[in-house]
Amino acid sequence: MKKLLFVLLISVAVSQSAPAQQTLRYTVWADGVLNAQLPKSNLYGLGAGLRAEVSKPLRTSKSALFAQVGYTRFSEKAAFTANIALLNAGYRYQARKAFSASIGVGAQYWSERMRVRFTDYTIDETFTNVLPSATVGLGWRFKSRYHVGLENRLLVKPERGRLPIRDNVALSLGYTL
Amino acid sequence: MTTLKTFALFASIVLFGTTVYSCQSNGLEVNPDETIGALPPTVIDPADNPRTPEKVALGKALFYDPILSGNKDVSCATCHHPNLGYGDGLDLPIGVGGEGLGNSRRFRSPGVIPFTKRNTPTLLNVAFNGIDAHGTYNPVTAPMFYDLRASSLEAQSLLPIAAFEEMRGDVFTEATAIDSVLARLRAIATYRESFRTVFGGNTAITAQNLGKAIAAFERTLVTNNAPFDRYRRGDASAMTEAQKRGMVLFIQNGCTTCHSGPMFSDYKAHVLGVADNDKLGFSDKGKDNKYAFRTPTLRNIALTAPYMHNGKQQSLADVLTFYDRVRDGEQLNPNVAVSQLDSLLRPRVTLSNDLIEFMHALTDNSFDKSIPSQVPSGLPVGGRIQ
Repeated sequence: MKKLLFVLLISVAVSQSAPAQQTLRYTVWADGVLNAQLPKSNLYGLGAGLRAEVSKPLRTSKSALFAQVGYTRFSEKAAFTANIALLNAGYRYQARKAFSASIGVGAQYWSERMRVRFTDYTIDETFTNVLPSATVGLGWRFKSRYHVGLENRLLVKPERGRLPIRDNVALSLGYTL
Repeated sequence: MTTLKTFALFASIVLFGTTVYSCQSNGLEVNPDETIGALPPTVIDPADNPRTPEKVALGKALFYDPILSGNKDVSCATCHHPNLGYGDGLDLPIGVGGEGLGNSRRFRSPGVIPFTKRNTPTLLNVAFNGIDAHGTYNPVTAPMFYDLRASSLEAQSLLPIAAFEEMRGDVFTEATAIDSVLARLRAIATYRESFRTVFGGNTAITAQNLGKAIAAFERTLVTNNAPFDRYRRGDASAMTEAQKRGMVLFIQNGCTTCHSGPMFSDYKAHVLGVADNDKLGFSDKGKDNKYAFRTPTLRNIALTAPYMHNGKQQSLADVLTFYDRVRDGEQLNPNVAVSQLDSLLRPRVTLSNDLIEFMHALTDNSFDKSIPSQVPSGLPVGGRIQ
């Protein structure tokens, strides 16, 4: 059910962006991702991912609305590997020529594989969850088509009456087609 | 040129994706000597003390009977009460001179009798004391007490009777305490009959048999069906996702270096440098005066706060914070230098809800909570705990 919901969300986002094709910009991002909670929860360390972004400049051209779909994988630190599909939509403000700041909201679909090998027993389980997310980012553009971005991704995972937060930081390189 | 750029871009994406996806190993491998597993389904009795229903019933009566204490107001159950997970809920126990149960227990005349110097350990699963990571243990040599000063439940169960602040008080001397208590038991017809039935002969009320009967009862206090036990036996749904993550953190962070085996204890003494409890009035130097204390079990830990050998930590969060401070190099006990801390103490833990959730998965609340309505002496059941 969660998977279906996620696919539907992506479909809606893609279909909504199509009619405005004339003014749209397409950017591809390569992300290096770090679990910012390493001192607190070191199940994950580093990950990497890709995002495809479509953005539409607003009237002032200093700002734009964007929508992103992407994939991230946290490589195995010890027991856990995570494959993540993400959907994010937000607003980006371009200050002068180079610097930008963005905020976004979205959701991430996490498929986490846990493997623990005891001497007598091996545990191999997969957990799947859809986590609401919020992002705050800073960017720097150079040579008009290239970008460097730093983004903080906050994820909320409701659990037994609590709302634990997962915090990931992405350092990204982007290229606008 | 644009076509070439686009091709290069997509080729890079494919290469990048393939590389990232292929990065995986075989999972977390648990050191066999530091593994954690389910408790055995049954308990091993010493060859010279097999359990019988009659012996267990006798042991239970003795356990709740304050006749074993000098002033006839403290029983084993005073500090090991089923309503409190067979602990007492206090940082330091109040034995002789106290009244009330759990957090409401107070000294009747403060300052006359000292606190018992170490936190009451739960008796739940004490039958498995000494079990190693491979599930092997010997009840005859099972380590007891925070300073490992006794081996076997039979030996352990007699020591509090002779301890001044626990049960003896100033009615007997330490040397005569056990004999005096045995004389009291011999004067009670029900005990004479019960000991004769269980052990045989007319001289069955001996120190050895007293210890055996109490130990036989304590070996029935088993909780081996916690969510973690069920999970390790193959029930994947027995633990929550958070508890499973906590389990991985527990292993990954090195907790199993000491909290290993089915009881989550290596039953060895370690120097952690826990701050002294001011209530005690002196610094407890632990085993061999080296400030070493035995690793406590984590079984049923949700029922047995406060924690550490002197109850200094009120909650599991406090315990994790303690390890964080140790990790950060703080000296928490002025009598224990950082250089004296156990070399195995390399905590990487930090306050984590998942870790706490996992420790809750070690609790099984399905133990015997029944309390006898009366004891053979006719004294108040459990001692002065009302």
